[in-house]
Amino acid sequence: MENEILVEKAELVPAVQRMLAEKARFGTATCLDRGDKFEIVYHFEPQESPEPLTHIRVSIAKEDTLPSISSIYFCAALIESEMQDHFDIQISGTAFDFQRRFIRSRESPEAELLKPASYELRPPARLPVRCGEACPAGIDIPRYVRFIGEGKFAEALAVIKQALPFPGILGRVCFAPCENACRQSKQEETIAIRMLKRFVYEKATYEEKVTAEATHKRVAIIGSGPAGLTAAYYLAKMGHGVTIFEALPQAGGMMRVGIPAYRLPRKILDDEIDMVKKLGVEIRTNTRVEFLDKLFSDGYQATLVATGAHQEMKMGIAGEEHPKVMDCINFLRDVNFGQPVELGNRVVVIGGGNAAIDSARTALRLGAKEVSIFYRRTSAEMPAHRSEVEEAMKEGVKIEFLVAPKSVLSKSARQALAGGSETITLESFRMKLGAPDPGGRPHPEPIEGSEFRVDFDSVIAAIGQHPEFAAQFKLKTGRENVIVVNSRTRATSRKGVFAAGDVIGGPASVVEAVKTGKEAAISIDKYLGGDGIVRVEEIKVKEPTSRHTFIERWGRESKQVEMPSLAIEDRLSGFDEVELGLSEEIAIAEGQRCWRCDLEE
Amino acid sequence: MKMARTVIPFGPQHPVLPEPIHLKLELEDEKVVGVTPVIGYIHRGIEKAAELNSFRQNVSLMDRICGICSFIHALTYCQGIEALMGVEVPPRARFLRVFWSELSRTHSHLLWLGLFADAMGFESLFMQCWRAREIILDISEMTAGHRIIQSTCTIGGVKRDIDKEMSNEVNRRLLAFKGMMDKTISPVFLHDPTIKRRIAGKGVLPKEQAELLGAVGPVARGSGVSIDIRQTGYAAYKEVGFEPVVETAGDGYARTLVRIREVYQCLELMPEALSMMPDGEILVRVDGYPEGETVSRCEQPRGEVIYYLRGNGTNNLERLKIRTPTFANIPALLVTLPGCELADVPVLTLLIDPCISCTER
Repeated sequence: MENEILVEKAELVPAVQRMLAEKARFGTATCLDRGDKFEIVYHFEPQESPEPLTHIRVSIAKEDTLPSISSIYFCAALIESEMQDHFDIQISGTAFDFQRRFIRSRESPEAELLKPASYELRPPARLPVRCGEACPAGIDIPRYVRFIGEGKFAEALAVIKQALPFPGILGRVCFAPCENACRQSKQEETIAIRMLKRFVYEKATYEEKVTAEATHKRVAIIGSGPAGLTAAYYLAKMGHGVTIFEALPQAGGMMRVGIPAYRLPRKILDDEIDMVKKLGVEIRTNTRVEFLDKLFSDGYQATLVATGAHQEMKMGIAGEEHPKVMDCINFLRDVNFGQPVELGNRVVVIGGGNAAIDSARTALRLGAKEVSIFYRRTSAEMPAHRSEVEEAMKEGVKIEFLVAPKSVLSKSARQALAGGSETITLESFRMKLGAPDPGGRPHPEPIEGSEFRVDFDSVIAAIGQHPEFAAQFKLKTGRENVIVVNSRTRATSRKGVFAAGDVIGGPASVVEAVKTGKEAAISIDKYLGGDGIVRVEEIKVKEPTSRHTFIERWGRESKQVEMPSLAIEDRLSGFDEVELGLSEEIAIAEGQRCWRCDLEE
Repeated sequence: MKMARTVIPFGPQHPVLPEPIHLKLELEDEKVVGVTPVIGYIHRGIEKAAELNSFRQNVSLMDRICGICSFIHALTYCQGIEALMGVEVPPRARFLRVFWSELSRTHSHLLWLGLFADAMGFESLFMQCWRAREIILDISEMTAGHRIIQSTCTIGGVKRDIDKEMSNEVNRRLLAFKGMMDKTISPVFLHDPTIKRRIAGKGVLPKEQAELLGAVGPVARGSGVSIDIRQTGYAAYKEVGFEPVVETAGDGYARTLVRIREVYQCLELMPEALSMMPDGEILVRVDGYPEGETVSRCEQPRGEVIYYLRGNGTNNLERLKIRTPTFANIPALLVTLPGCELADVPVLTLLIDPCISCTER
């Protein structure tokens, strides 16, 4: 055979020792019965090259004794023992004795070989957690909550910033799907994850820096809402030149026109938008984009459509065109931009979503005395966030369930005779819940003959929005005008055009828009030739590896902290923020309350 | 005071052992202080039988040395004969050999993961693993005609071809399989605290001892020894590209991790081999008789298998010697057991993935 060393019996042990010195690996040994003699071939794998093997061949007479090599290579003992069994070959000096185990060896005495090895426990991979999985933006929630509990606020903010550009905004307006998922709610109360985010944004600072080299590629973003701003933030960080076009006089999209100031103070919104601007993003307000071709001919290599869902749906009832019947998007936009809105004393809001609650609470702040909400299903089916509904009811909003409008009756003639101000009468049905519709919610059906009439000064319709965008964009659209995109890359039917936010999925939340904006930014970077990797700051802190570290928490039940809020009488006089924020001690205590489901037991 | 020693027999019949091996455990209280292995319960004399059959018949015999790595046994044998007779295997056949090798490996690792879960008393995970393995067995049946013993390797190439349509179907099923790995099997094995407690830090085999004791396969790779015969590039591994999976902790968790990562590696190698496969013949005609000596090696799911072949120019081989990976891992097992609790013995024994029918031949 190739690479074969033929040795005499006496030279065997030195030859094998040379193999050990060369750090060859012992493969096995083969015994051949050649009639009058045994031939034994030892196969070794040399260290430098696995192929070809080196073989040592020795021949012995049948009655001769073969010296064992097991004191050099322990593992040879087993094959030697097998050769003894199969061929009756005599082998001397076996180091490996099955009865007393490893009894002799050149270097390793028994004690050493049997000693358990020193073993350092690896830092265990952290477990997937419900709150983190529920977060559309994918924030490492248990980690930042833990950091807050340890008083490491800067690190906590950095953890949030790894996944999300706008902790300030989301700390105030996020509907916190993480809190619904929190495992702690099964036994006690959930962790106030959103309030902690808000706290840490106010407490700590985070320095934004662009580390990527400029790519000299230009991206146009249409719409400065959460999706557009998020995409701009990430694209700017990846080194692209970004311009945002905004049709309205101020940036912020639905965050500015749809969310009232008592929930999202304008200073926070402006600060976050300024942060994006500081990264080099240009925002052109009062600029409506009519044609996408224009952008491409202006030298933009890619475009993101993030125009949101700003078109209120029609109720489809008689008398809807009455001037005192308004839709909530126009109503909120006028209020948020400081336009005068005449509501009168009695206001009714139709609908059960967050926009309806926002409209109702805003109407109260504009001086309306009686504000009602008519919703056609029951409180269990209401899409609005529960805490928002509770706050609205505390402030005096009346909610009537199982009511749907039938028609608006104008009584101007009669009112004119009486000399009072113009009143409208809303004729409504009482409803009952029927079979579930395709969305899974029970379909409300009107009860025949249950019509009733109530007088109001104005009616605000808040029954849902859909995207409105220029047909000239020539993009493929689906139901209710949403743009059809690839669910992974967010690419539209046109090359180089991407879409994100409410315009692709209908009205959702800020955090959903942030998620799709980030995904679109990654695809745009890849489309422009980048690697599509969002580089985040690493946080180098020694972290606990076991839940046992927090053993002091075991067996105690605790309650969620209560967010201090503005007194009801102070709220209605203006648009001051309702939630007041947590103090440092309370925030730390809340952070320590977390069960740390991400750590091993 | 020196504690009295008790000897407890573990096997040859034991609930966690599908195949018989007998370990005489010496215990002080509940602690294992010594182990004596006794093997030979299912010796079948295959090496001798191979000398009596013709060298072509031996391929079917090699297929049946072991149920779970049968294809690779036949492959090692065929590669040895081809080396002796100077046969050049067609490229397409070499890629197909990679495919079936990796299919066997996936199926073997899944089998082991299931048995291992069963040994820990985790019945539902056992069922899940074997349920996922069923997809692999279906692919085996579809491509080779048999669920377990594929029997597709032969001297000079392979017996069956995989056409485009079938390879698309294979890829589709592998995707379904990967979904089950991602969703159930791999997270439970790697994150379940109960499993971690049973294997993390248990049965530690340090790197030096792994080298000294000649451990092979996932046992060696779990201890940071980068031995993998696929690195030598036999069959088409050179073209497909291959990096061994190595973990350094050397404990049971590392060995489990190596096997799970290898399953994922197989899931990359199989479509890779199918897509890179060139058109052409899958079998060449082989005339004459083998003459001379050679050593052939392949990487089995459990580690390196070594075949020594000696032909003398007749229809029968003069000597065939098989060194299976479990045989090489028994010394490693004997070192990991002392110091552990009696209750850990089944788990630690399974961690070397013992394949006794291979070992005893």
